Amino acid sequence: MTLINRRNFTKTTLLGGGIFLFPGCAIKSDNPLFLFFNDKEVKTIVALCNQIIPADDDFGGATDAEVVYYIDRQLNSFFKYDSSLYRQSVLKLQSFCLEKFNKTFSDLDSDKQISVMRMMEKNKLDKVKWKNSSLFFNKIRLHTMQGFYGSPIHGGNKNFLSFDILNINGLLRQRLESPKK
Amino acid sequence: MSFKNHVNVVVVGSGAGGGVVAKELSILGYSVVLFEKGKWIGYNNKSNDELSDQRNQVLGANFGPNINKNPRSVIDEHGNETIFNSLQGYGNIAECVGSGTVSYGAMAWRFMEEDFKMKSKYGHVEGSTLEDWPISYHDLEPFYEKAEWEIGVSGDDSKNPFASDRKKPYPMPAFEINKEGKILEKAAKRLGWNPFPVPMFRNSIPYKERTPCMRNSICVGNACPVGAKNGTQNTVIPQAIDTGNCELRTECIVSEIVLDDKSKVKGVKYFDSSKRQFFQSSDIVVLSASANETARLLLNSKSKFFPNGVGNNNDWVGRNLQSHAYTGAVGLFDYEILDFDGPGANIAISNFSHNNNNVVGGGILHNEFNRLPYQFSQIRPPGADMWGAKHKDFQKKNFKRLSRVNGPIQEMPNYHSRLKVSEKYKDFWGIPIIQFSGKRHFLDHEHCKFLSIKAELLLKEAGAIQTWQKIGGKGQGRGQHQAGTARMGNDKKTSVTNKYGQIHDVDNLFIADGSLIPNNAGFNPSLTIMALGFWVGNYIGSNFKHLLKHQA
Ligand SMILES: Cc1cc2nc3c(=O)[nH]c(=O)nc-3n(C[C@H](O)[C@H](O)[C@H](O)COP(=O)(O)OP(=O)(O)OC[C@H]3O[C@@H](n4cnc5c(N)ncnc54)[C@H](O)[C@@H]3O)c2cc1C
Repeated sequence: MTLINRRNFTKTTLLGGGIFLFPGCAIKSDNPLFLFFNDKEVKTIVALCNQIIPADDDFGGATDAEVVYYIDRQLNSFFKYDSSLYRQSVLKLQSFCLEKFNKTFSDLDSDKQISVMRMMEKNKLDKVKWKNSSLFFNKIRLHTMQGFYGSPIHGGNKNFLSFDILNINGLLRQRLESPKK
Repeated sequence: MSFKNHVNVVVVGSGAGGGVVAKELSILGYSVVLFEKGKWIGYNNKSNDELSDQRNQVLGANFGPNINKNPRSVIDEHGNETIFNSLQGYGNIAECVGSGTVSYGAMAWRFMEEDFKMKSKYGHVEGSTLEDWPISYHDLEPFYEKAEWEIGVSGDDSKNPFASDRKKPYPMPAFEINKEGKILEKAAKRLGWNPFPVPMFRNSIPYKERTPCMRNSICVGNACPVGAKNGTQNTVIPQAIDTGNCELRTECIVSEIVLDDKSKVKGVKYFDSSKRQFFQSSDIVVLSASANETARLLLNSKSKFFPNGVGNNNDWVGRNLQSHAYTGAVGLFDYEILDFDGPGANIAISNFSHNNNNVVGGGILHNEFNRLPYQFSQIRPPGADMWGAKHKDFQKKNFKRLSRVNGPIQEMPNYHSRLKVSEKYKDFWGIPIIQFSGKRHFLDHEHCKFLSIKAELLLKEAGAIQTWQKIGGKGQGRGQHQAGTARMGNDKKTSVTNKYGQIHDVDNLFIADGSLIPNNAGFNPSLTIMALGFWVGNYIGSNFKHLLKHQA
């Protein structure tokens, strides 16, 4: 899989990465506004989610499934207790990236993003200023999986994307598609 | 006498135990008020949502409770009391009419003869309060039969040489084995084991005017769309209401058992849905609020005779808290082993329930209910990527190629795994909340290792190209199979009730739920809890007949 491929893919899906790259202006009227994240946070979260579940040659990833909306909704309700962890962690990640690369996380190229995330996962990013980066990493990892593989009623898994990826059909598909808000 | 002002029996909680007791007594003519904290919750709009189903509870629990109104705390490793902010570890069954029996997986196990006399069989276990039950399998057998026929169970244990004797067969034939089950069944036979179909509280054929199962494959954690899964909410509770002698009061939370100065129960205090407090007077009170909540209610009810909580003069209420450590193995196949034909779990092996070397007890093994997409995303071989392109690829390739064999290990009860009531925190109604502390006996993890090895062996024999173990048994057991917090026994000093679930020294206060169970065996407990409901109900029904005469 090449980077070109993935970019092409994102461009051709109906959702378009544009929504997330310029959240302020490109949100379509039928897209809900963000309830918790600000524009800068959205960029970082979208970039993280997109590495946790990237698009591939055949199927879109977390960006296409609009996982960021899932996380945004839950941080404003069920996961409220995690909201300050998110806010602080995004700031820490930003200052780490600016200091080290002179770029924001979302502006790093894909390989750099992945290596930063591997270090977060292992708690090795910045032992002085950010001792427990894995705590946040593990949260967003799980939340991304939930938003991507769970029911769309909570904000993610747009158009049942993950059910297509897993080739779920028949009665199971009917059941999984049945929940209503 | 007004029905509302005074009744013969108050039953607290309408789950597995409470639903049965309410029905047993109301058909005999006793007037009953059945209190339930939750509401009627059926197959509604939110069913089949993996993130809020009763199994995963990531975004709350469709079948209750609401964690904000019902906080619980735990003593952490530093000795601090912290409130749960999610349902993970909270120790939840459900809060609705029928409780766990609406959303359960519905495996309907009988415990084995050995499970009732663990101490006689295995001797004293250091650090454990393992005991014999005050009743035997044979005492309970007729009540198991009643539970199987009245609630409705399909099964066939003729191929299980370890099954304890039964007088009557199951009322419905077993489910047809699905693709995964057949492959595991053959492998088990090659290993010289004795596979047999999992007994289920589900209709394999039409039963009591309810339809058969539609082979829906995601029914664990959800209600059944066609009512083919049998719980107390669609069997004994409607029957109780139909007698005209039982009033079900939903959204009513009992806060305290009220006693006189000696040790006679007068009734209960409760809050209705508008948070107004009332007193309900009764001749008898039966607690069926589940192991955690029944113990809490006892501890929150103090009287002159019981300054430390009702039934707690010997400090046994809330102790011996057990559940089931789940353990097993996972196998990856190079073809699609799952056909998603419900109900999912359908082949079992009881070869390792007892008589194993260096293990006290053991556990049943079975193929697991289907894993939905999110849950599946957390199942990976050791060392595999948990995110990124490779993780997604695994998900895509293997969703239907993975088999999981596991089971509940028989936990060794211990005195220090317990719940108390918090001195610091109260719930929405101002009632002191549950505070958990302690952990499982160290042997539980060792026993889990034993059972996981067997599960892995089976998957290997079945042709899995890669296998790995998932070993449980750490932490505290307090979840869906919670039990043991008000154990029954013959010795007043080491138990809370006598063998009929009657609180020692209180003639008119009974328990009929998981808290009675001295040790929880290596099987899911619902059928046993229902059998105990019939057992306790039968005792009350035959010994308080004078109340009926008085009313007539
Ligand atoms: C997802 C899931 C799967 C399961 N699968 C299986 C399975 O396959 N096989 C099996 O055997 N078991 C299974 N179980 C476990 C089973 O549901 C429980 O073991 C069983 O319901 C416990 O019975 P009980 O009578 O002790 O308590 P419960 O059935 O929990 O009943 C207690 C009731 O009391 C109510 N209550 C509590 N406090 C109060 C109060 N103060 N006032 C009024 N009402 C109150 C509660 O709201 C609840 O409705 C499963 C459970 C779940 C959640």
